[in-house]
Amino acid sequence: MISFEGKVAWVSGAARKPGMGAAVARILAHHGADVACVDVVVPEPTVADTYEASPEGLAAVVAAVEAEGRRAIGLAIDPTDPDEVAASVARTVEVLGRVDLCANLSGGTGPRFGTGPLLDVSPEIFQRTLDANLTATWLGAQACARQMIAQGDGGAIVNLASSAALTGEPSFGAFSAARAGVVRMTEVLAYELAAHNIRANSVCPLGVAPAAGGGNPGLEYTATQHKGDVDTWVRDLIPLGRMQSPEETANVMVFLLSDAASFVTGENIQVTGGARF
Amino acid sequence: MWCNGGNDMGRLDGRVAIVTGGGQGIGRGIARRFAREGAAVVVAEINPDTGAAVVAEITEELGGRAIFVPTDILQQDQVEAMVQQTVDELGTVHILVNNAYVAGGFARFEHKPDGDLELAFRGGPLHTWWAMRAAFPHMKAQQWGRIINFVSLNGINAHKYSADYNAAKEAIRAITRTAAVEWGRHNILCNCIAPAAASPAYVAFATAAPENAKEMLQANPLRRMGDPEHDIGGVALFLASEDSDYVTGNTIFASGGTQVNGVQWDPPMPD
Repeated sequence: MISFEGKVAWVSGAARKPGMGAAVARILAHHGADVACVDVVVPEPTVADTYEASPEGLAAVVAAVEAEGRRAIGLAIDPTDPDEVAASVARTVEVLGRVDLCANLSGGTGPRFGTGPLLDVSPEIFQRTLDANLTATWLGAQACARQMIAQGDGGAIVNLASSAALTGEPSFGAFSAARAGVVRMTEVLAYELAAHNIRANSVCPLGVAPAAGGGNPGLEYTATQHKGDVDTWVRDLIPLGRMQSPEETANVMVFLLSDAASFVTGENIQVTGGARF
Repeated sequence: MWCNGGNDMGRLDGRVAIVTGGGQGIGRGIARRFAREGAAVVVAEINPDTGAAVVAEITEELGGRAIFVPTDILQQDQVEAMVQQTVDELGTVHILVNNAYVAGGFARFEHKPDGDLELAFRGGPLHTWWAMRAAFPHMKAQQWGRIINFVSLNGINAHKYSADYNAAKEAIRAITRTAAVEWGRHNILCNCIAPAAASPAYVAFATAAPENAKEMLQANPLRRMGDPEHDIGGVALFLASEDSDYVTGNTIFASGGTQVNGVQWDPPMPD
């Protein structure tokens, strides 16, 4: 049995493709949580990466949470801006009363986020990649943890990293470095927050099937680079012989936020269908 | 999946699970946790008193379903019979938890008798191997299986004076990862749990080396040992359920964060 009854979650990256954040928000709500759905919102999200969501996308996640009978708010922010992140947590407390659960799913790959050989990446793009994939995760965890500490009754944090954090992935140098940073940072959070009964864990998914999530350009780029096409890459690399749905990583993140993981902290779970890194 | 299941449903409804060493400690905790979630549980245990007691707890206290199968994991025929009896009485096996182990005592590496290493391998990876191979055809036939093997921070962090046990537990990790890669095509997922639990084995250690046990507890971020049913059972339930259906070949640490920087395992030991 699982229950988040009476708990409030702050979920970043809640509305963007390929849909892991939306799945986390929906599953948490299904099990009783109220959810603040946080994302980068622009009128027309680029299709070249998965860093942005549309206003309609954010509204849809809020509606999905409400359809589970829970309260929700949608918050459009820049997750790399400390003031905006802190304000989003404050707004969550103002509307939903508290923050018990923090799920950081913001991040991105693609031309704007360092995809390409490290020899060619500009300092500006390298820094932007670190900001979007590492600094934003830290800011979300920090702001939520401060609120949890003020409340005084613990909490849980789960951070999205990537299989690219586990080995050096050619053409994803900046992203790999940033996501590896998330894994190590999460271990430190686990130590530093344990005294407050706050657990912190991370997940490293291989990537969501492009068809399941409405497009996943970073994964399609990797697969094409290695094996020529996605199907060959899946067949050769993944023992389970298939790609994952957004819910499969979301379920792992929800587990880590739940009481079933009461003695799990500082852990990083690979969600790769058995692919080794 | 969680998003599809109701809160009033058991998350292992309809599943058949074998738990070796199910008569005490972590095995008992997992057997109880699985039964609470609706699984029919095979308590595989060498001790008839504790095995029967856990079955009674499950059937009478929890209102669940369980059978006791006397099993000496050091005997290949008994391990294979454990799986066969499960299939005969409960129809199949969906979940196999290899938790039991047998190993020698603590000693410095240079004093460890060869027999300790042989016992540790028989009491660890070898029976795990036998049980996995016996369960395989049934899991393959139904294209669904969950294998959960218990490993140890002793092996991962090279704790002192248990070289035989450490090697045996790391061998289990290698077996698990290899099976995960080979059996993924049959939707048989194989993962490990590395626990830090208040088990009888830990209590014995803490009694023999109280100062070291105290230091280790202080080095644990959550400052406690895990409860077999609540803390370790929760992770086993996750790995046994459909919530983990893209997770295979992993080691999940249910150790309060101890895995990150380890602890100073340094019980008194004469030269």
